[in-house]
Amino acid sequence: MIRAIVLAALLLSACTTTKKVADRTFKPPDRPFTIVVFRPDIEAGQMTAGGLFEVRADWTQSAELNIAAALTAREAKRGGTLSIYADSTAEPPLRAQISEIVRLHRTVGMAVLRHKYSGAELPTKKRIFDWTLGPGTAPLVAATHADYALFVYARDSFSSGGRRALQVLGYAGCIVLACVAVPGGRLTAFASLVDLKTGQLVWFNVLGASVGDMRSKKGAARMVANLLDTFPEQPKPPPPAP
Amino acid sequence: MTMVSRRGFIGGIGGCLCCGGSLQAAAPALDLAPLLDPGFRPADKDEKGLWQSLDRAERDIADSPLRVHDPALETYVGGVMGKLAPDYSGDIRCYIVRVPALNATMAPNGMLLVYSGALLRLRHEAGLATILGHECGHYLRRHQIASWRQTRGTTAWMAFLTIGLAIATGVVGGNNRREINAINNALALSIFRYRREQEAEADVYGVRLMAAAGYPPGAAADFWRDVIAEHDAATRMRGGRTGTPSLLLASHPSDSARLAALAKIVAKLGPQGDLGRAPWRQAMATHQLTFLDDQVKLNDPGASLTIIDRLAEDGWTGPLRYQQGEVHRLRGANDLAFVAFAAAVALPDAPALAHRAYGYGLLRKGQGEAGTAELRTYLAKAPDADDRAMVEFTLNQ
Amino acid sequence: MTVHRALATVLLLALAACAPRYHIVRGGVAATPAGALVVLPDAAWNRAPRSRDDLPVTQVWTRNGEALDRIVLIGGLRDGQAMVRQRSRASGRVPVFRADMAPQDIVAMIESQYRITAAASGFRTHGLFPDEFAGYLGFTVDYDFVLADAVPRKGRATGAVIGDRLYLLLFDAVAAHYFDAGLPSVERIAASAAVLE
Repeated sequence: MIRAIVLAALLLSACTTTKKVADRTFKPPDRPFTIVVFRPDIEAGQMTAGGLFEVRADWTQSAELNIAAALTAREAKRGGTLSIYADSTAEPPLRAQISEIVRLHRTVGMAVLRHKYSGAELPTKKRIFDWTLGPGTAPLVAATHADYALFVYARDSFSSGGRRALQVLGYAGCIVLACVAVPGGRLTAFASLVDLKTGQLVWFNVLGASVGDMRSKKGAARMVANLLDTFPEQPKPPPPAP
Repeated sequence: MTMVSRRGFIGGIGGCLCCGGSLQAAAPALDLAPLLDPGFRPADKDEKGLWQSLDRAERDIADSPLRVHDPALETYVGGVMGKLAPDYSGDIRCYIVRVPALNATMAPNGMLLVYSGALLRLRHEAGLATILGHECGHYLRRHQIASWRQTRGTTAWMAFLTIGLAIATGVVGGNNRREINAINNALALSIFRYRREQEAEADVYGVRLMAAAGYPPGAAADFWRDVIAEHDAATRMRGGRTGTPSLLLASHPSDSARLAALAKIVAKLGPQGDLGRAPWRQAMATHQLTFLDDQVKLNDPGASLTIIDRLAEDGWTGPLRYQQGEVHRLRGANDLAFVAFAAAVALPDAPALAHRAYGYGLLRKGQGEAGTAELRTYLAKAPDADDRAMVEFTLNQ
Repeated sequence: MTVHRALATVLLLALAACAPRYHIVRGGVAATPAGALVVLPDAAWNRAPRSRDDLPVTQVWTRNGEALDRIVLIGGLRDGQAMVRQRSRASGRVPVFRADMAPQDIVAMIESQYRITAAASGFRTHGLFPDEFAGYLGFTVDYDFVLADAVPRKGRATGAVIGDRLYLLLFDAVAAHYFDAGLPSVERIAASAAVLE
């Protein structure tokens, strides 16, 4: 269902690659901040000839690893710290708490997609971005040692052999002036940053075009760079003492 | 006033219990062998992907507020599964979800979801074994992945045909939309036919597992007979026809065919075993009325009354009479509701709410004194009633 | 990974192509189309586009999107009418309103509406008490429930039967933040309600 809404959002947003919506009043803290990524929701698969999405475990696993590595490396280069939360090492109560937040974020994130990206604009929110998960996130600051939580959703589908054959057939029709456009696989992704102290969504972004094949290290890095191109900056390190 | 889609949850992940499956004239053989070994892990690319997605769904369900968090009940259900498929008990995990629908789904990764609505409709452990055996059949015969592959192949054909014919039309002209539709309909129906065959196979497999585990296989036929009776009653009370209206459903052989085929197998296996009424009653003791309440509030009176009548076969209780009254109250049949509430308060285990309902019924009939007495009984029996202020207001009028 | 899901995607895409319009309801008079129930919103809310299931006397308002918070105003439900429009073949029918219903019956009707049309699970009511609505004696009730997204939600319904018609204001929202954040405005809106005879 999320996928459908993301797709709808992308279909309607006229932009070619990304469009940022964020709390304009948001100022990142003036000390280096840490980010935790909760259960990145990533799947890579193929689009079958009939247009169905078929998940591929190996592609998804490499996409997950590559995106996690790209996120960590990118943040380290910017002078911040980013960690990927691991379910396996968390105590059950924390795990349940995080499940709750992940579900809540899914619902809030879908509302953002619907009302900021799919054309169903709310007149009272024309110039403001004040969605929140509420103060229930505050205990996670201590539990995860992070200031912000980053949520990442990505689905990448690649045309299967059959789908490509179908596309070729559609294009071949053009030779006899009967073109049939067959949509192929595509990337859809969004990311959002939540201030764990307040629960506020402080930054949100949607990615609409295939900018990198996340099954490869390089592709994942390119995708992450595009998705996070407007991401809040870490504070500049103080000038070295004279 | 739409909210979140009701299909958003756990839709389309596995074989389902009541997809309208049916046994054909030629029923599957009784000697089907499992298609996977204990401890099975997928090796094919498509199946690995499916498992991975399902593992995530399972993590989501495990701590969802929609799950019935009762370890005792889940252990009991898991125990019955263990009797049916002892070699595979390490591979199958049972979750009870609070959804008032007659359904259960078995995912290929071994995640079994049993809906509270399915448990509500059972009277003994053998009934549970019918549901679990059927789902186990889907699992052991690897139906989900086979079904996915069949769908994938068929939809590919549909896509090629549609586009090929569209181009052909562009070249030679004319309109062949009817031909395209006819072929695509036939292909779509083949997907449903395939699933029906799987349902038939799961039925047979389940009954065999039941017999082997010492349950009377006749319980399976009873279960489906109850399902059909409930469906017919529900349709009748909705004022609909009990026939099969749509083209798609018309392609399903009748439920009576399913029953007849089951009866044949049951005859072959012979009657034996214990229905397990006592352990079932004990396992469901704290949940039955909650699940019944969920069902009654769906205002599907034919179904609800059938379920209540069946539960009352062991004798009418106050709570059952009260719920019977609630069914009538929701559908606006105040007189029938009044009779049921009167019967409920006459029973020694009448729930507090029955006194409230009967009290308001009496007031509506102009029997003020008797009505206020019932409302006072309600407040005495439920001192923490959340509508105390409202009832006291009525009493002071 | 089913045909249904692929179909749902296509349908959603088709629906999204004609994006719904929300209209602002600022301070002032807002009335249901029937012209009967009038409330004065103190803060800006967005009026949602009419859905297929809405009655002509229903308006839905939201601040953050209906999935997060919404007010449902029902301006005069007639005896024999249900809160929503339904297909005649639906398996569970939303109970109809009867002018002689006790407040508890109305609450049961509201609860069934949530369970049937939104598949609300674990619905619980608490604190039903007599209350004034639009200058008439009515009721207020609080409740909570969970939808398919497994996110806990809270709600409050307040209303009254006036001249054989039920006037109702429902507020439901995600329990985390959104319910408490919206409640003060909702309470003021409810207090401002008036019924034009």
